[in-house]
Amino acid sequence: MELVIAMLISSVVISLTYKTYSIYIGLYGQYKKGTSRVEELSLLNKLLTTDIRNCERLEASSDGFVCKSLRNTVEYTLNEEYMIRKCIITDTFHIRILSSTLFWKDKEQTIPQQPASQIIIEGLSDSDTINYNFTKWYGSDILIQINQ
Amino acid sequence: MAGKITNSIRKLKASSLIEITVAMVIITFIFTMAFSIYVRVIASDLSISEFKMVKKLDQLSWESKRDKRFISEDIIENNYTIEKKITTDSSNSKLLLMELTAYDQDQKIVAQKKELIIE
Amino acid sequence: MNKIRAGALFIVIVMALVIGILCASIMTISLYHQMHVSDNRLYTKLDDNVNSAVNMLLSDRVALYRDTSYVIDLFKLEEDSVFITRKRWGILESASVSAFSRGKKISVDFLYGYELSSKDSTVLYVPDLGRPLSFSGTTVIIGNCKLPASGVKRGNIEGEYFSGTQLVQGKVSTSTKNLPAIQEKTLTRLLSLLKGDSTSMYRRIGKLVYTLDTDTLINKFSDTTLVLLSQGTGLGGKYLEGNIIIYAVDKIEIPQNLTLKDVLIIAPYIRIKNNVQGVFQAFASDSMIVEENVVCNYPSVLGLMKTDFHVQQPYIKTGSNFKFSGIIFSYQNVSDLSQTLLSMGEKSEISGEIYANGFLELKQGTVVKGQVTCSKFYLKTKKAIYENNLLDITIDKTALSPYFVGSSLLISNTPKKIIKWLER
Repeated sequence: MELVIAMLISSVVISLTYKTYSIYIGLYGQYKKGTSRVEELSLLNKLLTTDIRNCERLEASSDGFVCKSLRNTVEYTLNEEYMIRKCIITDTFHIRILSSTLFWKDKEQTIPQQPASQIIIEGLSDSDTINYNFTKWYGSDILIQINQ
Repeated sequence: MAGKITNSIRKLKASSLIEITVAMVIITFIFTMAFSIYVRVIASDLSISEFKMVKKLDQLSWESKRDKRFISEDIIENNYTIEKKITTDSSNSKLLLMELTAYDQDQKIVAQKKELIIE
Repeated sequence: MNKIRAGALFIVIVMALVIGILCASIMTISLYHQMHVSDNRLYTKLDDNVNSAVNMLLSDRVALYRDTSYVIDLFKLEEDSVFITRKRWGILESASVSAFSRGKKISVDFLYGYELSSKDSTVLYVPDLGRPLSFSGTTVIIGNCKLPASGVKRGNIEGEYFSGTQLVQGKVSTSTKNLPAIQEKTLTRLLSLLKGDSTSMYRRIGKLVYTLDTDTLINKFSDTTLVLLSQGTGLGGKYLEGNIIIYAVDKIEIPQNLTLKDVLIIAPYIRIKNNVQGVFQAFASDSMIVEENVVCNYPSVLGLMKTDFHVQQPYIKTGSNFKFSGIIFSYQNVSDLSQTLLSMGEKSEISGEIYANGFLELKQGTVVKGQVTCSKFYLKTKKAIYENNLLDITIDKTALSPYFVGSSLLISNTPKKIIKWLER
């Protein structure tokens, strides 16, 4: 009798243990996915900030925009499913682009290879909408060049 | 001598009640600890909604500068309150200090942004 | 005797170990995640702080002496520190700004100046020394002028009559007897560097370089200035960029295959050879010759400073097809009948400002998009010399880019603007 009770209780304990383990591994997976998403968005923010600040000119392109400087060029390709950053290596950011607009002197800039001073990107990551807004601060030397 | 049969006595160790009770206590303890660690880790991390608030402050700052809208105001966005405060630098009227602070429902600061801008 | 270990306790302990490892993994992921995200957030905050510091510098919120480094707490909360250094670079200003926190740093270097006043649309200023101006040929002046009381008349130089309908396309008012004042303190250091052998003075402002071992030399503005002691020639085939002064006790020759970007050139006599292209500030006290087809991009400066009577008439003479964007000026701090001469070659194109404390010669076909201020015009043809005469010259302030930013030499009460972000 004692053996039966012991076996019953032991089966409960073992299944409880297994359930605990499976819950925890599920939470772990969810957590990892969530943090990867925030990291990716945060890294994208940092890269956009750096590239736009360091470039000499920000230009529109047919499928995104380009940060041009003498030393290197960084191309951003915007897609409905993802965003690609091409520099020395290519990075893909899994953010769905809802809209992206470039401006030059408060007017929308759509012509490729034409300069831009502001950019707004609206993205969707799972069900969260994230907005990226940047302004390129030009020196008068570049403004004079563009104005010519 | 051939054919000697030895009986192997197999002993099957099973759990006694005490062992099972101890096991149950251990698993409960482990589960509680693991779950509390998980909750703490989640609480201390930057969640997606907090990141969205950080980007919202960037957006408000950008819009204020573009539209030259330099007035203090409060904005409510989802469950967060964003306070925008503009103060003039005492020694220089051209320079403004723009402070944007996002608070959650418990009035805890979720994100903050400070900038000096020329009017 | 075989023992088969069964037992809930054993399984529970194994699972506890596994869950413990998972907890440790979660904590490790959390740690790296926090480090990573807080790094990125810190970076964004430093970027904001750098912009704030640049705005603070441009608005003169804090009095900052030149050639001194300052650490400033932006918001007085002991967590937003910036490092600012400013110095004069020729007649422009340069600054280095860094925001730092927890071992991370973002730095920017830039040149800045003063934006042109939108209220002042003066295109031509000639002081009232009793002599009228005369325009001949296809001379076009667009903008308001401040001219002598005797005014301006239609002229004729060697058969070239004035062919326009309006002498000045703008308002004409009477000037005073003096030129607008120049900000002499802008030139204080340059004047001392041009006097005699200033090698000892250069040792105080930078590191002396006697020979150039490499073909390319790039020096950041946040580093110590490099002073390249030129032997006059020998700079061919080099690329020089940034915080570099090329100095010679007597003369410097800039060959065509020398590329210059944002450097200073200081010598009593400077010769810039044919087809040179670059961005630089050149200062001479004796003479400066710019040969044909030279292109000086914005923000360039050509400056001539007369400080004694050793050289009777210091001059800057440019060849034909000279393209220049920036500031050209002449200055004298000695009272002398023999004045400095700025002479722009035929078909030159100048975008910016010309300030001549002396004679200014604009040869036929010269176009100035900007402002001209001079004591007297001078024109030498094959047959004669004419004073206060312009032949086939265009001076048009409306054609100057609205983004042009000048120096404190000529303006000092308008908002400061960034001229150029320098290579980081």
